[in-house]
Amino acid sequence: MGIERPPTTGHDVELAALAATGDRRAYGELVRRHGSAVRGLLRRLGADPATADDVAQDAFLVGFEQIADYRGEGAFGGWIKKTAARLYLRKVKRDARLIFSDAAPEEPSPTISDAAPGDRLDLDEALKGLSHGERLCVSLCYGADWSHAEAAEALNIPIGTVKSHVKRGLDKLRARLAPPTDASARREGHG
Amino acid sequence: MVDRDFDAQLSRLFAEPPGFPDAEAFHARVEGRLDRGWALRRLAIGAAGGVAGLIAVGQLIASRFAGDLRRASDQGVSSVDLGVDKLMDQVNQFVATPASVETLWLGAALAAIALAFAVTRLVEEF
Repeated sequence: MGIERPPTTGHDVELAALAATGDRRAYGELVRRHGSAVRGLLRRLGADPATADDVAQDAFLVGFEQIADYRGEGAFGGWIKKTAARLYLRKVKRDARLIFSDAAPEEPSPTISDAAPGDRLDLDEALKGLSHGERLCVSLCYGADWSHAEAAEALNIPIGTVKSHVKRGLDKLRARLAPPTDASARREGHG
Repeated sequence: MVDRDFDAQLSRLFAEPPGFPDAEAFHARVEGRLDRGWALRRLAIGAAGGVAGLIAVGQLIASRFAGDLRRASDQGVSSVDLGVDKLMDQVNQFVATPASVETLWLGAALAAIALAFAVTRLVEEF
Protein backbone atom coordinates (compact mmCIF):
# COMPACT_ATOMS: atom_id res chain seq x y z
CA MET A 1 0.00 0.00 0.00
CA GLY A 2 1.53 3.31 -1.09
CA ILE A 3 1.56 6.45 0.95
CA GLU A 4 -0.93 8.96 -0.38
CA ARG A 5 0.80 12.24 -1.03
CA PRO A 6 -1.06 15.25 0.34
CA PRO A 7 -2.19 17.57 -2.45
CA THR A 8 -0.22 20.44 -0.99
CA THR A 9 3.09 19.09 -2.25
CA GLY A 10 2.28 18.52 -5.91
CA HIS A 11 3.16 20.57 -8.96
CA ASP A 12 0.58 23.11 -10.10
CA VAL A 13 -0.41 20.93 -13.04
CA GLU A 14 -0.98 17.95 -10.77
CA LEU A 15 -3.02 20.06 -8.39
CA ALA A 16 -5.07 21.44 -11.27
CA ALA A 17 -5.75 17.90 -12.49
CA LEU A 18 -6.92 16.94 -9.01
CA ALA A 19 -9.04 20.07 -8.80
CA ALA A 20 -10.66 19.13 -12.12
CA THR A 21 -11.97 16.01 -10.40
CA GLY A 22 -13.60 18.20 -7.74
CA ASP A 23 -10.77 18.14 -5.20
CA ARG A 24 -11.24 21.47 -3.44
CA ARG A 25 -8.25 20.90 -1.17
CA ALA A 26 -5.96 20.73 -4.18
CA TYR A 27 -7.51 23.88 -5.60
CA GLY A 28 -7.16 25.55 -2.23
CA GLU A 29 -3.43 24.98 -2.43
CA LEU A 30 -3.37 26.67 -5.84
CA VAL A 31 -5.21 29.61 -4.31
CA ARG A 32 -2.62 29.73 -1.54
CA ARG A 33 0.25 29.70 -4.06
CA HIS A 34 -1.12 32.25 -6.50
CA GLY A 35 -3.46 34.42 -4.45
CA SER A 36 -0.94 37.16 -3.81
CA ALA A 37 0.22 37.28 -7.42
CA VAL A 38 -3.35 37.71 -8.65
CA ARG A 39 -4.15 40.36 -6.06
CA GLY A 40 -0.94 42.19 -6.88
CA LEU A 41 -1.64 42.14 -10.60
CA LEU A 42 -5.12 43.58 -10.13
CA ARG A 43 -3.75 46.43 -8.04
CA ARG A 44 -1.13 47.11 -10.65
CA LEU A 45 -3.88 47.24 -13.25
CA GLY A 46 -5.33 50.09 -11.22
CA ALA A 47 -7.90 48.40 -8.98
CA ASP A 48 -8.32 49.72 -5.46
CA PRO A 49 -7.46 47.14 -2.78
CA ALA A 50 -11.06 46.14 -2.01
CA THR A 51 -11.98 45.76 -5.67
CA ALA A 52 -8.76 43.87 -6.35
CA ASP A 53 -9.54 41.38 -3.60
CA ASP A 54 -13.16 40.94 -4.73
CA VAL A 55 -12.15 40.37 -8.32
CA ALA A 56 -9.34 38.03 -7.26
CA GLN A 57 -11.82 35.94 -5.28
CA ASP A 58 -14.20 35.85 -8.22
CA ALA A 59 -11.34 34.87 -10.50
CA PHE A 60 -10.44 31.90 -8.34
CA LEU A 61 -14.08 30.80 -8.20
CA VAL A 62 -14.37 31.08 -11.98
CA GLY A 63 -11.05 29.28 -12.26
CA PHE A 64 -12.43 26.36 -10.26
CA GLU A 65 -15.48 26.22 -12.52
CA GLN A 66 -13.32 26.22 -15.62
CA ILE A 67 -10.35 24.25 -14.32
CA ALA A 68 -11.05 21.47 -16.82
CA ASP A 69 -10.15 23.96 -19.57
CA TYR A 70 -6.65 24.34 -18.13
CA ARG A 71 -4.59 21.59 -19.72
CA GLY A 72 -1.22 22.44 -18.28
CA GLU A 73 0.15 23.92 -21.51
CA GLY A 74 1.24 27.08 -19.69
CA ALA A 75 1.77 28.00 -16.07
CA PHE A 76 -1.31 27.91 -13.89
CA GLY A 77 -0.32 31.31 -12.52
CA GLY A 78 -0.49 32.83 -16.00
CA TRP A 79 -3.82 31.18 -16.70
CA ILE A 80 -5.48 32.42 -13.54
CA LYS A 81 -3.99 35.89 -13.97
CA LYS A 82 -5.51 36.10 -17.44
CA THR A 83 -8.85 35.09 -16.00
CA ALA A 84 -8.55 37.74 -13.28
CA ALA A 85 -7.57 40.44 -15.77
CA ARG A 86 -10.54 39.57 -17.98
CA LEU A 87 -12.91 39.80 -15.01
CA TYR A 88 -11.42 43.10 -13.93
CA LEU A 89 -11.76 44.62 -17.39
CA ARG A 90 -15.36 43.44 -17.58
CA LYS A 91 -16.06 45.09 -14.25
CA VAL A 92 -14.35 48.30 -15.25
CA LYS A 93 -16.32 48.44 -18.49
CA ARG A 94 -19.55 47.71 -16.66
CA ASP A 95 -18.84 50.52 -14.23
CA ALA A 96 -17.91 52.76 -17.19
CA ARG A 97 -14.64 53.71 -15.55
CA LEU A 98 -12.38 52.77 -18.42
CA ILE A 99 -10.85 56.05 -19.45
CA PHE A 100 -8.04 56.24 -21.92
CA SER A 101 -6.52 59.61 -21.34
CA ASP A 102 -2.89 60.42 -21.73
CA ALA A 103 -2.75 62.23 -18.42
CA ALA A 104 -1.36 60.55 -15.37
CA PRO A 105 -3.96 60.11 -12.64
CA GLU A 106 -4.36 63.18 -10.46
CA GLU A 107 -4.66 61.16 -7.30
CA PRO A 108 -1.98 58.62 -6.54
CA SER A 109 -2.98 55.22 -7.85
CA PRO A 110 -3.46 52.49 -5.26
CA THR A 111 -0.33 50.56 -4.62
CA ILE A 112 0.66 47.70 -2.44
CA SER A 113 0.97 49.57 0.81
CA ASP A 114 2.80 46.86 2.65
CA ALA A 115 5.40 46.38 -0.02
CA ALA A 116 8.92 45.83 1.14
CA PRO A 117 11.58 48.17 -0.13
CA GLY A 118 13.32 47.09 -3.28
CA ASP A 119 12.42 46.27 -6.86
CA ARG A 120 8.73 45.69 -6.24
CA LEU A 121 8.26 49.01 -4.53
CA ASP A 122 10.09 50.66 -7.36
CA LEU A 123 7.77 49.08 -9.92
CA ASP A 124 4.64 50.06 -8.04
CA GLU A 125 5.94 53.55 -7.54
CA ALA A 126 6.94 53.79 -11.18
CA LEU A 127 3.52 52.61 -12.33
CA LYS A 128 1.98 55.58 -10.54
CA GLY A 129 3.48 57.91 -13.08
CA LEU A 130 1.71 56.27 -16.01
CA SER A 131 -1.63 57.28 -17.43
CA HIS A 132 -4.55 54.89 -16.90
CA GLY A 133 -4.27 53.55 -20.43
CA GLU A 134 -0.51 53.10 -20.27
CA ARG A 135 -0.69 51.42 -16.91
CA LEU A 136 -3.45 49.09 -18.03
CA CYS A 137 -1.75 48.12 -21.27
CA VAL A 138 1.69 47.63 -19.71
CA SER A 139 0.31 45.62 -16.80
CA LEU A 140 -1.82 43.46 -19.08
CA CYS A 141 1.04 42.71 -21.44
CA TYR A 142 3.78 42.25 -18.84
CA GLY A 143 1.83 41.22 -15.75
CA ALA A 144 -0.86 39.03 -17.29
CA ASP A 145 1.15 37.95 -20.36
CA TRP A 146 -1.46 39.19 -22.78
CA SER A 147 -0.46 39.81 -26.36
CA HIS A 148 -1.10 43.25 -27.85
CA ALA A 149 -3.90 41.71 -29.90
CA GLU A 150 -5.54 40.18 -26.84
CA ALA A 151 -5.34 43.49 -24.98
CA ALA A 152 -6.75 45.37 -27.96
CA GLU A 153 -9.66 42.98 -28.24
CA ALA A 154 -10.44 43.04 -24.54
CA LEU A 155 -10.16 46.82 -24.31
CA ASN A 156 -12.02 47.29 -27.58
CA ILE A 157 -9.38 49.64 -28.97
CA PRO A 158 -7.13 49.39 -32.06
CA ILE A 159 -3.99 47.34 -31.65
CA GLY A 160 -1.94 50.37 -32.64
CA THR A 161 -3.31 52.25 -29.64
CA VAL A 162 -2.28 49.41 -27.36
CA LYS A 163 1.21 49.41 -28.84
CA SER A 164 1.60 53.14 -28.41
CA HIS A 165 0.34 52.98 -24.81
CA VAL A 166 2.81 50.18 -24.09
CA LYS A 167 5.66 52.04 -25.74
CA ARG A 168 5.02 55.28 -23.89
CA GLY A 169 4.50 53.37 -20.66
CA LEU A 170 7.77 51.48 -21.10
CA ASP A 171 9.64 54.69 -21.81
CA LYS A 172 8.38 56.19 -18.57
CA LEU A 173 9.09 53.02 -16.60
CA ARG A 174 12.57 52.75 -18.08
CA ALA A 175 13.35 56.26 -16.94
CA ARG A 176 11.95 55.67 -13.47
CA LEU A 177 13.42 52.22 -12.95
CA ALA A 178 16.84 52.99 -14.36
CA PRO A 179 19.60 52.51 -11.81
CA PRO A 180 21.00 55.81 -10.59
CA THR A 181 24.01 56.91 -12.53
CA ASP A 182 27.19 57.98 -10.77
CA ALA A 183 26.39 61.59 -11.53
CA SER A 184 22.88 61.46 -10.13
CA ALA A 185 24.08 59.52 -7.09
CA ARG A 186 26.68 62.20 -6.47
CA ARG A 187 23.99 64.88 -6.86
CA GLU A 188 21.81 63.10 -4.33
CA GLY A 189 24.79 62.71 -2.01
CA HIS A 190 25.52 66.41 -2.13
CA GLY A 191 21.86 67.40 -1.99
CA MET B 1 19.71 44.60 -26.66
CA VAL B 2 19.01 47.24 -24.03
CA ASP B 3 15.29 46.97 -24.81
CA ARG B 4 15.41 43.21 -24.45
CA ASP B 5 17.21 43.51 -21.11
CA PHE B 6 14.64 45.99 -19.90
CA ASP B 7 11.80 43.74 -21.10
CA ALA B 8 13.27 40.86 -19.13
CA GLN B 9 13.74 43.06 -16.07
CA LEU B 10 10.17 44.29 -16.26
CA SER B 11 8.77 40.78 -16.72
CA ARG B 12 10.77 39.68 -13.69
CA LEU B 13 9.45 42.58 -11.62
CA PHE B 14 5.87 41.81 -12.60
CA ALA B 15 6.39 38.10 -11.91
CA GLU B 16 7.50 38.67 -8.33
CA PRO B 17 4.42 38.09 -6.21
CA PRO B 18 3.97 40.84 -3.65
CA GLY B 19 3.66 39.88 -0.03
CA PHE B 20 0.32 40.48 1.68
CA PRO B 21 0.00 40.16 5.46
CA ASP B 22 -3.59 38.97 5.04
CA ALA B 23 -2.75 36.26 2.50
CA GLU B 24 -4.08 33.51 4.77
CA ALA B 25 -7.32 35.39 5.37
CA PHE B 26 -7.77 35.82 1.63
CA HIS B 27 -7.15 32.12 1.11
CA ALA B 28 -9.73 31.27 3.79
CA ARG B 29 -12.31 33.58 2.19
CA VAL B 30 -11.90 31.90 -1.19
CA GLU B 31 -12.12 28.43 0.33
CA GLY B 32 -15.23 29.45 2.25
CA ARG B 33 -16.90 30.66 -0.94
CA LEU B 34 -15.87 27.48 -2.74
CA ASP B 35 -17.42 25.36 0.00
CA ARG B 36 -20.63 27.37 0.07
CA GLY B 37 -21.00 27.19 -3.70
CA TRP B 38 -20.40 23.46 -3.70
CA ALA B 39 -22.94 22.84 -0.93
CA LEU B 40 -25.58 24.96 -2.63
CA ARG B 41 -25.04 23.20 -5.92
CA ARG B 42 -25.42 19.74 -4.41
CA LEU B 43 -28.47 20.90 -2.55
CA ALA B 44 -30.01 22.25 -5.73
CA ILE B 45 -29.26 19.02 -7.57
CA GLY B 46 -30.82 16.98 -4.77
CA ALA B 47 -33.90 19.18 -4.64
CA ALA B 48 -34.25 19.13 -8.43
CA GLY B 49 -33.95 15.34 -8.38
CA GLY B 50 -36.64 15.08 -5.72
CA VAL B 51 -39.02 17.34 -7.61
CA ALA B 52 -38.29 15.52 -10.88
CA GLY B 53 -38.98 12.17 -9.23
CA LEU B 54 -42.31 13.36 -7.88
CA ILE B 55 -43.28 14.81 -11.25
CA ALA B 56 -42.28 11.55 -12.93
CA VAL B 57 -44.48 9.52 -10.62
CA GLY B 58 -47.36 11.92 -11.19
CA GLN B 59 -46.89 11.76 -14.94
CA LEU B 60 -46.73 7.97 -14.93
CA ILE B 61 -49.99 7.70 -13.08
CA ALA B 62 -51.72 10.40 -15.11
CA SER B 63 -50.60 9.05 -18.50
CA ARG B 64 -51.70 5.57 -17.61
CA PHE B 65 -55.21 6.75 -16.70
CA ALA B 66 -55.40 8.98 -19.79
CA GLY B 67 -54.39 6.08 -22.03
CA ASP B 68 -56.96 3.86 -20.50
CA LEU B 69 -59.66 6.48 -21.00
CA ARG B 70 -58.69 6.99 -24.64
CA ARG B 71 -58.69 3.28 -25.34
CA ALA B 72 -62.11 2.93 -23.78
CA SER B 73 -63.41 5.71 -26.01
CA ASP B 74 -61.81 4.31 -29.18
CA GLN B 75 -63.40 0.99 -28.75
CA GLY B 76 -66.69 2.68 -29.46
CA VAL B 77 -68.45 1.66 -26.35
CA SER B 78 -71.96 2.88 -26.69
CA SER B 79 -73.10 2.09 -23.26
CA VAL B 80 -71.80 4.36 -20.58
CA ASP B 81 -72.26 1.69 -18.00
CA LEU B 82 -70.30 -0.76 -20.02
CA GLY B 83 -67.56 1.80 -20.48
CA VAL B 84 -67.40 2.61 -16.84
CA ASP B 85 -67.29 -1.08 -16.01
CA LYS B 86 -64.50 -1.61 -18.50
CA LEU B 87 -62.58 1.39 -17.23
CA MET B 88 -62.92 0.19 -13.71
CA ASP B 89 -61.67 -3.18 -14.85
CA GLN B 90 -58.69 -1.54 -16.43
CA VAL B 91 -58.01 0.57 -13.38
CA ASN B 92 -58.10 -2.56 -11.31
CA GLN B 93 -55.85 -4.23 -13.83
CA PHE B 94 -53.46 -1.26 -13.67
CA VAL B 95 -53.18 -1.54 -9.94
CA ALA B 96 -52.92 -5.31 -10.01
CA THR B 97 -50.44 -5.58 -12.87
CA PRO B 98 -46.97 -6.31 -11.50
CA ALA B 99 -45.28 -4.15 -14.13
CA SER B 100 -47.35 -1.10 -13.25
CA VAL B 101 -46.74 -1.53 -9.60
CA GLU B 102 -43.04 -1.94 -10.25
CA THR B 103 -42.95 1.24 -12.28
CA LEU B 104 -44.83 3.10 -9.61
CA TRP B 105 -42.55 1.88 -6.89
CA LEU B 106 -39.47 2.56 -8.95
CA GLY B 107 -40.50 6.18 -9.45
CA ALA B 108 -41.36 6.53 -5.79
CA ALA B 109 -38.04 5.02 -4.77
CA LEU B 110 -36.13 7.40 -7.02
CA ALA B 111 -37.97 10.34 -5.55
CA ALA B 112 -37.34 9.08 -2.04
CA ILE B 113 -33.60 8.63 -2.73
CA ALA B 114 -33.31 12.11 -4.21
CA LEU B 115 -35.17 13.66 -1.29
CA ALA B 116 -33.07 11.72 1.19
CA PHE B 117 -29.93 13.00 -0.53
CA ALA B 118 -31.17 16.56 -0.34
CA VAL B 119 -32.10 16.22 3.34
CA THR B 120 -28.72 14.64 4.11
CA ARG B 121 -26.95 17.54 2.48
CA LEU B 122 -29.08 19.99 4.41
CA VAL B 123 -28.22 18.31 7.70
CA GLU B 124 -24.51 18.16 6.84
CA GLU B 125 -24.21 21.72 5.69
CA PHE B 126 -26.39 23.65 8.11
